[in-house]
Amino acid sequence: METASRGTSVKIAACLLVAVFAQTTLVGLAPNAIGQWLAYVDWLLIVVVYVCLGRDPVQALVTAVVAGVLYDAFSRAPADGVMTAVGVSGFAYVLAAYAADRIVSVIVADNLLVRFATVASASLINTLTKVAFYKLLKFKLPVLISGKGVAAAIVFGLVTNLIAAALIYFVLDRVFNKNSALKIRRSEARRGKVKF
Amino acid sequence: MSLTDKAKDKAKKNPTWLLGLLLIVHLFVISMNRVPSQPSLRYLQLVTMSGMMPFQWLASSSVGAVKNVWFSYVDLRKARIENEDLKITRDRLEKEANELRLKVTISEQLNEFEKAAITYEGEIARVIGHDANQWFNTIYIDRGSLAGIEKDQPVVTADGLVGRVINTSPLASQVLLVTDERHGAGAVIAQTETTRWLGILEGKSQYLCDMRFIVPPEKLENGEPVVTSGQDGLYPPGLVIGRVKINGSVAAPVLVEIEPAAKLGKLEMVKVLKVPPEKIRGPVEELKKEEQSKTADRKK
Repeated sequence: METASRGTSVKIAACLLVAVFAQTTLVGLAPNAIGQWLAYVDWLLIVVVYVCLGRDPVQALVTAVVAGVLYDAFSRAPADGVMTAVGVSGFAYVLAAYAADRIVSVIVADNLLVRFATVASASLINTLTKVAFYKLLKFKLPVLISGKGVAAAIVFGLVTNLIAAALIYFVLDRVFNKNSALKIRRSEARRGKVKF
Repeated sequence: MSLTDKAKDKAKKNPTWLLGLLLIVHLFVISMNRVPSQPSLRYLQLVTMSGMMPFQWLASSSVGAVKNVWFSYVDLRKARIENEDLKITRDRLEKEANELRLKVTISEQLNEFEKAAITYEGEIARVIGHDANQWFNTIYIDRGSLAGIEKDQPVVTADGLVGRVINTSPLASQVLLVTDERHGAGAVIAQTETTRWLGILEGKSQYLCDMRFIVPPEKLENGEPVVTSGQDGLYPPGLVIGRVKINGSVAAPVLVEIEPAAKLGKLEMVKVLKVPPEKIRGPVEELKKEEQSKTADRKK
C-alpha cells in the first residue's frame, strides 16, 4: 500500500516535471499558428486537476503547491522590468485543486463530463485568481490592460485547457493505470462489493 | 499510527484546514515579493506599513499634540521672560532717549543764550520747580549760593527777562517772575525801546504785566518792545521785558499791558546774570548825584 502510494507520488512528480517542461518549451518549439494557442494551456494545472480526480485532497493540495513552486521557478521576469509574483501561481493552483477536489468529492461518478467540469472550474478559478492577484499587486501585464484581454485569457485558457486535458488525461490514465483500476472497481461494483 | 498519518487522515476528512494553511503560506510568500513600482519595497512591508499607518498617525499626532502643548508652554515662559527683559530694555532706552532729548534741549537753549545779545556774565540754571501756590509766580532753579547766585540777581532767558532771585540756598534759588504782583514793589522802571517813555512795571497775572507810565506818552502802538531802563537799581539797562499789548495805537495811555517776551509757562533753562553792582547802581548813583547837585544849587 505504502509502496503503491510512493509510486504514485513519483509518477506525479514525473508528470509535473514533464508538464513544466511542456509549459516552458512547447510554445517555442511549435509553429506560431499552434504556439499561440499552446500559450494558453496550463499543463501543470491539468496535472494538478488529474491528481484531484484521485479523490485524495492532501495529495491534490500538495501537488498544487509543488506545481506552483515549479511554475514560479521556471517563470521569467518580463523584459520591461516587471517582476514575477512568487506564490501567486501556487495560491491559484491550491484554490483550483481545492475546488476540483470538492467537485469530485460531491460528484461520485468518474466520466469525461465530470472531468471537463472539474478542469473548467479549476481553469476558471486559476485564471481569475491570477488576474485578481496581478491586479491587486499592480503588475503591468498586457493581459490586464483591458477587460477584453482578461476575458480572452479566461475563455481561451478554458477552451485550450479542456482540449489539452482530453488528450493528456488519455495518456495519464495509462500512466496511472486508471483504466484497469476502474475496470476492477466496476467489476466489483457489479458484484455488489463497491457502491458508487 | 504516527502523527503524520493522523494529520493526513484528518486533512483527508476535512481538507479546509490544510487549504487555509496553504493559502496563508502562499499569501506570506506573495507578500515577500517586491513592489514593481518600488523594487526596494516588499508587499509585506507595504501591507504592514499600510496596516500600521493609522496607529502610527494616531501615535505621532498624539505625541505631536503633547509636544506642541509643551513647547508652547515653554515658549510662553520664555516669551514672558523675554517680555520682562524687553520692558526693562524699553524703559532704559526711553530713559536714555529722554536724557538725550533733554541734552538736546539744553544744548539748543544754550545755543540760544549764546546767540542772544546778553552781554553779561551769568550762570545757567535749570528750572526744577514752580511755586506750589498759584497766587505767587515763582520758580526754583538748581543753582544756589555755592554757584555764586545772590539775591536780586536778574534771571533771563534768550527771549527776555524772567524775574529776579529773591531767595538763595546753597544748592537752589527761588526766582520771582516779572508777572508776580509783588514784582512792582521793587519799582521796576521800564522804558519803551524806541520812544524811550519811562514807566513802572508791575506784575498782573500769570502771563501779563502792567506798565504804568510816569508821563503818559503822546502815542503808543501795539507790539512796541519794552526794555529795562536800568534806573531801578535792580536790572541792568537794555534787557527785553516784553511787548506792549494794546489794540492798535492809543494816545496818552497811563497804563498798558505788557506781554512778557520770555515764555514763562514753559521755562526750562534760565540764566542768572552776575551783573556787577556798579553797572546796576551806576545810573541810580548818577541820578542821585544829579539830584544832590540840583538841591545844592537851589540852596545856594
